[in-house]
Amino acid sequence: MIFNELTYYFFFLGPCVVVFHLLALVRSVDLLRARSYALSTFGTLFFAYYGYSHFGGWRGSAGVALFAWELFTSQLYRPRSRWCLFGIVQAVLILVAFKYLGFFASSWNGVAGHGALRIQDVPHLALPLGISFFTFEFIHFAADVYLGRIERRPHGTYAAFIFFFPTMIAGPIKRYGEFEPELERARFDGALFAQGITRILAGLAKKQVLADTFSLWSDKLNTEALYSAAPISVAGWILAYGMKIYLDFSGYSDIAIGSGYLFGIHIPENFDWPYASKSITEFWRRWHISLGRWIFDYVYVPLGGSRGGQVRTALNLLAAFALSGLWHGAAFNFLAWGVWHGAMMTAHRFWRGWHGRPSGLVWSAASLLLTFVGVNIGWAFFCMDLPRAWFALARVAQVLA
Amino acid sequence: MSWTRLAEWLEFVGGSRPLPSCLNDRQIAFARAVWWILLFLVSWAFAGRGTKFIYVDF
Repeated sequence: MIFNELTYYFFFLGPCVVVFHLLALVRSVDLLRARSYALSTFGTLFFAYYGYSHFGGWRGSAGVALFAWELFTSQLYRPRSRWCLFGIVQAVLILVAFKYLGFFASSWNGVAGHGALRIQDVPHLALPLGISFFTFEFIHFAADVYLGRIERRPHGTYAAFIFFFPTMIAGPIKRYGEFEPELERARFDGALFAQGITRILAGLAKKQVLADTFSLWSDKLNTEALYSAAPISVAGWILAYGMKIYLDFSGYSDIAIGSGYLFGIHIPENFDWPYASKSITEFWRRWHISLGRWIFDYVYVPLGGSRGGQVRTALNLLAAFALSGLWHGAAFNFLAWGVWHGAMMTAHRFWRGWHGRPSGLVWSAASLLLTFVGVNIGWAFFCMDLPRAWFALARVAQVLA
Repeated sequence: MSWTRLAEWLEFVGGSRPLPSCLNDRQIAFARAVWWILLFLVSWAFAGRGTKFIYVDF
């Protein structure tokens, strides 16, 4: 929902764009500050409205308090300051408390059985809208201030950054160092504005026409039909899910990026023809690019990256992708999806070390096909619980047998 | 048409890439108007299935 609701365009995007550009006509205001406050105000209303209507009523709206608290504590951030570390820890704790506490408690109960160690009341908190995305932006800001990569700016610009509502719910995950100059330079540009409208409409069509049509097939994976379907049908449904998730999420990103164009602001791209990748490494440079960059910069590199030899690199890759999997959802199937991608990345890294980068048409075609198959095997874990995913993959394997 | 050309063309019509400067303003305005109406109508025709964007739940 949200981007395919009229309220988004008539109550939030349209009015905010008008106010944002009209402010440029008022000579007596500090434009950057005024625009930052306008974006923060609309962002607050946006979060409160959709939090209330879609995510748990007043408890959903109360998620705005997390942003207010972040704004308060971020005032204390300085390079090499402990407050930055505090900011990182608090963002992680917010994410864990809301998203993973129930999962950890249920998993613990699975191990503890019916003994005395069992947790009786498994907590289930209402998940604030966009929590996985905004906490990653909070962590990025605290980490980059700590490392001295970004200068502390007036209060309003960071508020505009976290309350920029086109990206609040599901990204693309922005970087403050890129967003702030965009906000400062933003002006009405007719060509970019028109391109933004095209991008929004194209994103909507991708979702409503194409992604939702692929759903008609892929949704069967989570019904009883899976257990009586022919192997070729199951393979087709998994491929349909691969197309659906691409068209759905890239459509979503198109609308977010197109909305940014209406303000005259460029938001990072999220997709670059991922299914045309000839290796899994290339796939991750083209799929959910803003998340890939985040995981690389704030998980993989701090873990040591590729600096500690082959085994350490493999472990770092597996850890980074396992975390990326769990970030998508608090369930074992997402963990399996992340580990599967980590394993493919590791295998590709070793392969490249031994064989270099072979060229030629046959190699290109084989690489393209192998990457596509590997990614689609991953989607089976992504869209079904583990027993179902194993069953579906085993059924597909019967085609080969 | 090569793959690269096809990808470029799809990026033009999808709004990911600015339009080429070889077209004049009147042609661009007309093409855009037709394309926007078409995209709007096709999205409207398929609306009402009430599905969420997948990543909204993450």
